[in-house]
Amino acid sequence: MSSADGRQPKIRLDDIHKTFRWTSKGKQHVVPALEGVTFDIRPHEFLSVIGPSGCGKTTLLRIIASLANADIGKVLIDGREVTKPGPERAMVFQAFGLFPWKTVIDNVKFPLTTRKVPDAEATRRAREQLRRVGLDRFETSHPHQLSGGMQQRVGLARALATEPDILLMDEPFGAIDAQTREYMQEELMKIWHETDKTVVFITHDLDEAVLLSDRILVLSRGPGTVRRVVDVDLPRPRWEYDVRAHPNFAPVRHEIWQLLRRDLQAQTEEETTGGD
Amino acid sequence: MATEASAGRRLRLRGLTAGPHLLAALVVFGSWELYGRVGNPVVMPPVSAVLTGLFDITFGGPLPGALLSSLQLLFVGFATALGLGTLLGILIGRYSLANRVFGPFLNAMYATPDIALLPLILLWFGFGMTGRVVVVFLAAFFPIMINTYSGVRDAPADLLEVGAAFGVDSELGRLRKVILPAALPLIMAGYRLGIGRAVVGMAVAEVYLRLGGLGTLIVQYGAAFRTDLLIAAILPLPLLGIVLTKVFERIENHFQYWRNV
Repeated sequence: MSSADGRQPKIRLDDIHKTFRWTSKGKQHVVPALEGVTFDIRPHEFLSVIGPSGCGKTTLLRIIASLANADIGKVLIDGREVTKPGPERAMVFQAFGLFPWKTVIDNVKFPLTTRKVPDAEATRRAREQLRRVGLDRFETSHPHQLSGGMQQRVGLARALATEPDILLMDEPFGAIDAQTREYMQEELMKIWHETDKTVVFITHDLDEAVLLSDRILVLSRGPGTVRRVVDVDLPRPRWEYDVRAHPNFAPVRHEIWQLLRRDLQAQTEEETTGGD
Repeated sequence: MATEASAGRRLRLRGLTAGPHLLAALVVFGSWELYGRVGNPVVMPPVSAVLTGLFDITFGGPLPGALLSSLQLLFVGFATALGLGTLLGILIGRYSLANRVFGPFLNAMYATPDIALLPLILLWFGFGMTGRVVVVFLAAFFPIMINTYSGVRDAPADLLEVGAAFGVDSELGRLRKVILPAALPLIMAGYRLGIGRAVVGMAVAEVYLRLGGLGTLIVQYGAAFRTDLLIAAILPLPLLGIVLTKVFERIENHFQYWRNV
């Protein structure tokens, strides 16, 4: 399935550039989003991407998913360049992205049916993932009948349905209340332990990034470039103890916080002095 | 407990709302009957005469045949409007080129009252079935097309992205799996509006273009000063409109359930 060679990166980002250009009311807008992001993501690692708002985190993830194209640069998965979305990468969306007219199980089956998996097989695999996220009793419900946390578990089950090597998660718990979020983080940890996926996890929540990740990629203020890569040296499994109380937690958190704070200050100053 | 209380309230409310209805009906039909009996029956026949008239033309009379002929016209005209309206709505809602090509013409036609087009339709299509179908079609076409257009144009970008992420890679796939299901509630609402308009179009077509159907019956009885039969022949029209609209409302609600967020 995946390359056994630990040295080959699972995902290689090679000099990714992206600039958004559009015209509105006769005015040309040019906003550079990413400027030369080069980075290797290791097999089976949990990588968080963090950065100030507007740093191109989501754009980077969409490029990895091939939902957007880089202007310059390439994305390599297991050493091969990708240009189209594939079943080896699956996305979890911030706003869940469930089809409101489909039942829970049909939502989870969706990535399988679009890829012509026979219905019985698709149902079996969807049920397996629904059981994994603990929603097997809600197969026939519709998304609007579920809470936000439950909806995102459906989103997660759907992403797992094609048994991808890579999970791409775009602030998946950002729209979920704090208590449910903690629970979801733990669930995700467990699923990650069980399934051995490579996870790229976008967040703007410092604690969340430290809690979950092996490494944290800090992007600079837009246009995004790699500002620093921070290793998180905390023993796993992390749901078995109070991670925030571990002596390694605060230093890592502090390091990232300082990086982000400087960018945030610069951004605020720019905004108040009227720059656009 | 709470449900019992609310059920009780609903029962009382229903009594309250039915009361005025009954009273209004009594006043309207009572004064109609009285007025008809003392006045000129050509101007306003009493309700009783209209009801017996309705009975006469229904059983052994021309009404069933006329109704059947009208329904046939309605069906053909509405089906055409449904097909073409949905198709054009998708085209101009999804493709800006199609919108630029067809948009101005459709807008111009929408702004033209159908009645004003009747002489032209008569000229082009004659008194036969075709002309009448065109009138019904024109009446039902626009609400269907416009609703389909709106639904398709406002296709949810986020769900299109979800589709792309999970393997929808063709335009047909996007339409079938994302755009049309998302637009379905609006499209169904268009059908509901369309069927009501089609009934009106049907009556207009038959009154002005003659040749069979309820409209012709209405014109005949009008010309013969049989006002009792005239009113009796008009009655099926609003009934048809209400019943068909309700049927489509049911179908529409079936596709709306997931919108009750």
